[in-house]
Amino acid sequence: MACEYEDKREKLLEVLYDDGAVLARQNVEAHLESCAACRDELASLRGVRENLKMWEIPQPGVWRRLSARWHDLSPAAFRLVAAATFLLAMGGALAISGASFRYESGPIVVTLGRANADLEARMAAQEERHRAEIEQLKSTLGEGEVSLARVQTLIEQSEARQMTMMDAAWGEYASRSEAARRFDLARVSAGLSYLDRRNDEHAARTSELVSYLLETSAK
Amino acid sequence: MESIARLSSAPLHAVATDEELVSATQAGDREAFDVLVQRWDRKIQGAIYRVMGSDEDARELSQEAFFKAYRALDGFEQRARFSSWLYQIAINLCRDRLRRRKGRRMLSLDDVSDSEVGPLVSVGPNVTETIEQNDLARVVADAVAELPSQQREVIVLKEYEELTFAQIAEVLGLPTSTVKTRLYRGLVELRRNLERRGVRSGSPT
Repeated sequence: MACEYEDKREKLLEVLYDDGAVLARQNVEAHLESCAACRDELASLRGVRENLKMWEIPQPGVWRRLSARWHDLSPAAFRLVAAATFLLAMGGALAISGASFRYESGPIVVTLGRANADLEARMAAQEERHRAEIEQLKSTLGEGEVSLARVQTLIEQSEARQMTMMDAAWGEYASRSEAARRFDLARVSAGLSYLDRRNDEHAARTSELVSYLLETSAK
Repeated sequence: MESIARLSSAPLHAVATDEELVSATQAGDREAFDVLVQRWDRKIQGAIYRVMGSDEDARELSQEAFFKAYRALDGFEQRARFSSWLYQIAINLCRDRLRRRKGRRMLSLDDVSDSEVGPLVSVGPNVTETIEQNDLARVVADAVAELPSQQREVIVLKEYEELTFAQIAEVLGLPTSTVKTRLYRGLVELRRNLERRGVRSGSPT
């Protein structure tokens, strides 16, 4: 005899889950007493449910660990957190990129990119040679023996040589600094991207900061 | 007076029903909504996690669900249960995100790490048994992820959120008969997915 529930086996769910109208469940239970196929199907579905129970998930508290709950942050606190993140990201990026700050009788000078100690030493040495050259020139002039024009010419030639050397050195320094700056900012961005994944509250803001740093350092 | 009222409302909120907390929130008591969040946060995150297969999605979408609920609460007339309404918002957010990711596989064995699956019900003295249980959990997660989203939603709401057929129908806006049909087909499909992976489900009487 064909099972009357063959095309409506979902009715077994009322017994499987003990959910639904009492009368409907009783009808299914009565059918099960005489239908082995439906009993087998019900047992199989119970097995599926047992397997489903094996899938547990971690506590939401773990997930919440790194992200502030929205309703715990007042607007003022949120702005404070955003500002602190901005300063942290700025400081980290500048530190990694080797930026330096100098106060020179007035404006504060910001230098981005790693300092080239060798180049600075060479330029200082060149300046010292220049000074020594001028001093030597002065000492050899004597009163009235050498014209001012000649002195001027010598000075101009020395300055021209120095400018040429400075241009070449600056070009080398600039290209090295640019490469170092891009590498450092890429590392900052990669680091911030890692933070980005772990801190969904500040993800958009840290990305904006990196863009801001790229824009301002390029100016 | 206001501070006294605020101090005295906390214990009352703890025993209030969802409907009472909704009414209090609509009257301007924001702390009442905080209680609702704390009460349903874990369940909503869990449901989203199982539907989406991602703890990142669970974290993001659960927060978004509560934000949407808070913003729309003034218009919520309590014709349905608050929890059903909240699940509805969460499921719709999942559907929106899944639509945007159309064609992308939701979960694979590689995606489910040990930290996501977590420890199972009990860790007995038999380490091999524990390892096997962890493997089974991954297989189950993968099998669920393969289900069509309509079946997956119903299975998650029934098996893990333990809603009744009527509540699921309310959440999804479907007739109860449709809920049962999708659930049954989902269980059958799941059985097939598990058997393909070498996991048998029950035995004939």
